[in-house]
This record gives sequence, structure tokens and C-alpha cells, in this order.
Amino acid sequence: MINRAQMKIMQMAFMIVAVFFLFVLVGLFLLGIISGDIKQGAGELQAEEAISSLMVIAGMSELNCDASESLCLDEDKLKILTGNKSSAYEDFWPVASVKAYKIYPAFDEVVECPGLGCNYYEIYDGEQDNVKEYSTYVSICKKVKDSNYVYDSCVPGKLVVGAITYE
Amino acid sequence: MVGFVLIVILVVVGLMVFLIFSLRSGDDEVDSLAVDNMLHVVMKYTTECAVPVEPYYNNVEDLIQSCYENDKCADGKDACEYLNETLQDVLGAMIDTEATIEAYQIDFSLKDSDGISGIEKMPKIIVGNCTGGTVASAQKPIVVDGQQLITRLKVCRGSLF
Repeated sequence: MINRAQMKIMQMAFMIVAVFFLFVLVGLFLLGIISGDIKQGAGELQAEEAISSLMVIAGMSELNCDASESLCLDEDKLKILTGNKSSAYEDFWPVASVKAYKIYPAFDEVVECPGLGCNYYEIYDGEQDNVKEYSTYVSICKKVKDSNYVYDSCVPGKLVVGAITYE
Repeated sequence: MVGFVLIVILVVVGLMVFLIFSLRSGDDEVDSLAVDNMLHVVMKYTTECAVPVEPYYNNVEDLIQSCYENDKCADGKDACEYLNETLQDVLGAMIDTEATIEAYQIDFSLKDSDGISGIEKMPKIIVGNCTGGTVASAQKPIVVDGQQLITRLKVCRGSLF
């Protein structure tokens, strides 16, 4: 026969176990949130690093509009690099692929440059496997002469660079 | 009885710690290099609004200034109207290339000695709803008449999974 004191001890034991489990669950929940934040932070850092590398490539004198301008690609240089002269640059690019395309005006169909009304420039493709592509927004600008006034006409575009992955 | 009170206090402290954590991570609006680049590229877009005559076409940065100064384009259209249309079209096209952007907002404010205030006549574009995503932002000041006209772009990124 269980007396009153034993019943109290059992109640207390159950209570302690329940409280212990409650704290374990709360702890696990908090750990999940914290580790999620760390993963998100790591992802954001990786993306920022990729964008910084893309900015370096966009700033190369072979592509950029002007040394003082960042994130600006010269359309005339892009046209030359997508033409026959691009083979001379095969060993030059430190990445697996370099492409650029115009975003606006929006297009339904990709038209590769050089060509009439083109919107896509394949500057270099090393034809590698296991390539992960990173992109950033750039301005694609060309010099326009109108009534003896020369100005830069710029449209938004994207620079896409492929990096080899070793996974 | 003392034990019960102790447990209640511990649970309340635990809940408060949890609340502090969740509130802190929910309100975060981080400066982002990607959004900064996006804003930079939008600012450089050459519009079809020429002020005062063709071929002096404004880029978006010039058009913001023209709108603030109540200028009109060479074709007679209001610079602010043009700015509104241009921003909607260009930003819309740019956002369409991103899979994870749920919503975005672009607005203008004036910073002077009295503080920061909104500008009634300038467009404010809000597209989509931000439902628990990460908000990243960037801003660019333009100096007009000794005051800072601040353009702010906010982007809400949701998760694909």
C-alpha cells in the first residue's frame, strides 16, 4: 500500500522529469533558431564574397566602361570579345565562364551577340563540368552621338561568372 | 510551494530570453551589397526623358533631381510621372530575374537640418508582400540645393525551400 508521503515523492519525481524535458525542448528550439541564423549568415557572406569577385571581373579594363566607373560594362568591348577575337583571351580569364545579358528592355527570346537586336554576350566558356554560376547587376553602356553631342546610353544587365566546384 | 514558484520563475525567464531572441531577429533590416549594386545600376539607366531638350537624356539619378525640381521632359511629360513609370518598368524587369525576391519598395526622403522627411510629390513604389523574409536595403544620397535627397531601395527575400 502506497502511503501519502510515497505518493508525494512520486509526484515530485514526475514533475522534475517533466520540467527537465520542457527545458530540453526549449533548448533544442533555441539551438535550431541560432544555428539557422548562423547558416543564413554564412550564406549571405558567401554571396557577398561572390559579388565582390564579380565586381573585380566587371572592373577589368577588358570589360569596363571607364576606370572610375564600377559595375559598368562597355558594350563595344563586349561585342569585340564575343566575336572572333575572343579566342585570343582563352587563357586570360581566371574563371570557367563569363557571360553578360541585358535585362531591360525585357525580351522574350535570347539573341546571342554579335547580331541584330542581340541581348546576350557569351564572352568566354571554358566548357567545364561542375560549374556554379554567380551573377550581379551591371550597367551595359555604349557611346551614342546625337546632334554632335556624345553621351553614354546605359541599360541594366547581368554579369554571370562560372566558378568550378570541387564537390 | 516554493519549488513550484521557482519553476514558474525559471519558465518565465526562459520565455523572456526566447522572446528577446525572436524579436531581435525579426526586425533586422540589413545593408546589402547586392541591393546596393541593384540601386547603382538603376540609377545609371538612361531614360528617354531629355531635360531641357534632346539629346540631353536624363539617367535615373538626373531624373530624380528633375522630378524634385518640378522639371518637364522635352516631350512635355512631367519628370515625376516619367520617373514613376521608369522605376516600375526597370525594377520590375530586374526583379523578374531573381527567384527569391518576394517584395520590394523604393522611396525618397529629404535630409536637412530638421531631420528626415518624406517628399509628397515623389513616387513611392511598393510591390508584393513581405511575409517573414529577410529585408535587405541600400540607399543613395543625391545633393540637391544643399540638401540630401535620399533614395532607398528595400528588398524582401523569401526562401525557396
